[in-house]
Amino acid sequence: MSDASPSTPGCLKLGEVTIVDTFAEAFPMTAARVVVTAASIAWARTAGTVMTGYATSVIACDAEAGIERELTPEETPDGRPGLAVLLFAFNRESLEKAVVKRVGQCVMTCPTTACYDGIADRSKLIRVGGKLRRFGDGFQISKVIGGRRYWRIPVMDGEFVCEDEFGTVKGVGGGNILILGCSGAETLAAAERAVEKVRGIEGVIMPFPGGVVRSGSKVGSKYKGQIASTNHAYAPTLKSLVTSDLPAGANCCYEIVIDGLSPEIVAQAMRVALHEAAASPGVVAISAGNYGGKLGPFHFRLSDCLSDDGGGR
Amino acid sequence: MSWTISARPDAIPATRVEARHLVQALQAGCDIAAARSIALAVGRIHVPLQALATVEKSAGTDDCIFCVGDFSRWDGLGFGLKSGQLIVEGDTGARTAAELVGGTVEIHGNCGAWAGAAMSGGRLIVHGETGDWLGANWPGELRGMTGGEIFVHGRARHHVGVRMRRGTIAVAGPVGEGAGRGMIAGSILLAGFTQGIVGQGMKRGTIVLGPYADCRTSISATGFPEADCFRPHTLGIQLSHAAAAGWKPAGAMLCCRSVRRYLGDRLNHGLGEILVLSDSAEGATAYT
Repeated sequence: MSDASPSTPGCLKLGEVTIVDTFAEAFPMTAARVVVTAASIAWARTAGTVMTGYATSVIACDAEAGIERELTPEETPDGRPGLAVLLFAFNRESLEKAVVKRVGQCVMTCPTTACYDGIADRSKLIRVGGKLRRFGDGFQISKVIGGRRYWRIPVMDGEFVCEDEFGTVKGVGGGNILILGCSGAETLAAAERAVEKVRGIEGVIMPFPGGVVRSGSKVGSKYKGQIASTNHAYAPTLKSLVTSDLPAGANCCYEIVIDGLSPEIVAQAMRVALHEAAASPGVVAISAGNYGGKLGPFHFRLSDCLSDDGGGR
Repeated sequence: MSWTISARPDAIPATRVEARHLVQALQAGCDIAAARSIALAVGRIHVPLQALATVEKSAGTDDCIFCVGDFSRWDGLGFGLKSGQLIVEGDTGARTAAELVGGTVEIHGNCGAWAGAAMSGGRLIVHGETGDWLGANWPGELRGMTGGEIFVHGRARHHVGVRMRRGTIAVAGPVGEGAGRGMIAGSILLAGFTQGIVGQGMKRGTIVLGPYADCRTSISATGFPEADCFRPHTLGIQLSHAAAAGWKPAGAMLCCRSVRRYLGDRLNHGLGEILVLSDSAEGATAYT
C-alpha cells in the first residue's frame, strides 16, 4: 500500500496503454526464507497458507509474507514435498519474533510438517527452532548435521523438526504497479494475469490477498492517530469530489505490491507485471505508487521497466 | 604453501615417534631448513625430522600437508589441527587427528587407537581401519569428541565414540565392543556388524544401526525396550549429508524401508535412541 504521486507530465506508451512516467518507491527490509515440508504437498500448502495469513503489510502486521513457490522432494532437505515461504520485516529483531510466532502457531501445529532454512547466506541469523524447542518440555532432541542444528520436538504425530537458526538477507519491500482499467472486471483480470506471471519468478512474493490490493493507501489522515488512509486520488467513487489521478476512461484501479530478496528481482517482477497487465484488454494506464521519493531509497521507474533489462536503483 | 613429508624406508624408527607438534610447526610458516630440523621425540631421545623423512616445500595457496609412506609408528599426526588439510598416503599410529579443531585429515590407510579422540571440529576421513577408542574420551575425561565428523570406510575396533558429546561418527565396516558407551549426545552411524551391546549407559544421542547389525545381540533388552517405529526426518538429512561426504553405505541405508527405534539407556535414565534400519517391509514405519 503506497501513496500515489500526483500526475506527472511525462507519459509513455506500451501499445495502446499509457505508462505514467513515475516510479515505485520501495524500502529495505530484512527477509527470511522458510522451507516448509510435509507428508504431502497438500499439507505443506495448508501450513504455508496459514503461516502467511495476516501478513499483508507491516503497517499493521508483524511481517509481510507469502508463498514463493512449491518445492519438489529433491529440493527439500528431508526429501518430502514442500514450499518456500518468504517473510519480510523492518529489522532482524522483528523478523525473528514474527517467524517464531508463525512457525510455532501455524507450522508446528500442522500435521506432518517440518521447517528448514532456505537462505544460503548464514552470516546474519535469527533463532527460530532454538526458541521453539522448549515446547518439547525437556524431551526435545538436538541434532547438528553439517554444522547446522536441527531441533526435534516430540508432538502427537511423531516429531516436529525445525532448524535452530535461519539466515536473513536485506531485501526490498514495496515495489508496485497500479493498473488502471475501464471496468472492475477487466482491471481485475489484468491484475490476475500479472500476478500469475510474477508467481513464476524466484525470490519475490506478493503479500496481499491473491497478490492484488484494492485499498491502496496514502500516509496520514484527517483523523488524529490514523497513520494511513484511503488513496483517494485513485478511488473512482471520489472522482468528482477530489483531484483524481484516474485518467479519462479509467473506473477502477488495482495495485500489485512486490517484495523481493534484491532490488534486481523486484525490478524484474515489476517489468513482468507491467508488460502482462498492459497486454490485457481494458487497461487504460499503468502507474506506480510513491511518497515523493523522500522516504524509500529504492526507486523503480516504470520507464526503466519498459525495457527488457528492467530498472531500479 | 604445501608440504610433502615422505617417510624414509631406510629409517624406520625402532620405537614410537611422538609427532603431535609436527603439523602445527609446519603450519607456523617455517622455512625448509627449520622444517627439516623440527625435533621429534623417538622414545627418550629427540631426532630431527630429516632423520626420519624427507621434507619438501612447494608454493601455493592451499594449506596442505602430504605425508607419504609408512607412518604407523608416528603418533599424534594431525593432533589439534585447526585449519588446512593433512593427507596421509599410508598408515598412521595412535592419536591421529586427536583433539582436531578444524580442517580435514584424510588417511588413505589404517589408523591406530584414539583416532579423533576428544576432537571438537573438523573432519577425519579414514579409508582403512581404525584402532580402539575412535572419537572417544581420554582416560579420566568426562567427554569424548565434542564436535566434527569422522567417516571411516573400513572397520573400527572397540569403544567407538565412548562418552561423545557432539558430532558424528560413521563407520562402514564392522565395529568392536562398546560402541557409544556412555554417550552424552551426537550421532553414530554403524553400517556393518556390531560386536557386543551398543549404547550402554547412553544419556542422549543417536546410534543408527544398518541392516547388517543384529539387534538381538546389539541392544540391551532391559536398557532399551522397544519403543516405536518412528523414522525421524533428521535421519534422511544425516544420511544424505554422509552420502555427500562420500560415505558409501549411506545410500543403501537411505533406502531401508523400516526403522525400529529404541529409547534408553533406561538403566541410566537416558533419552538416547538406537535406530535399527531394515530392508524388510515387516514393521515398516507408519510415518512418512
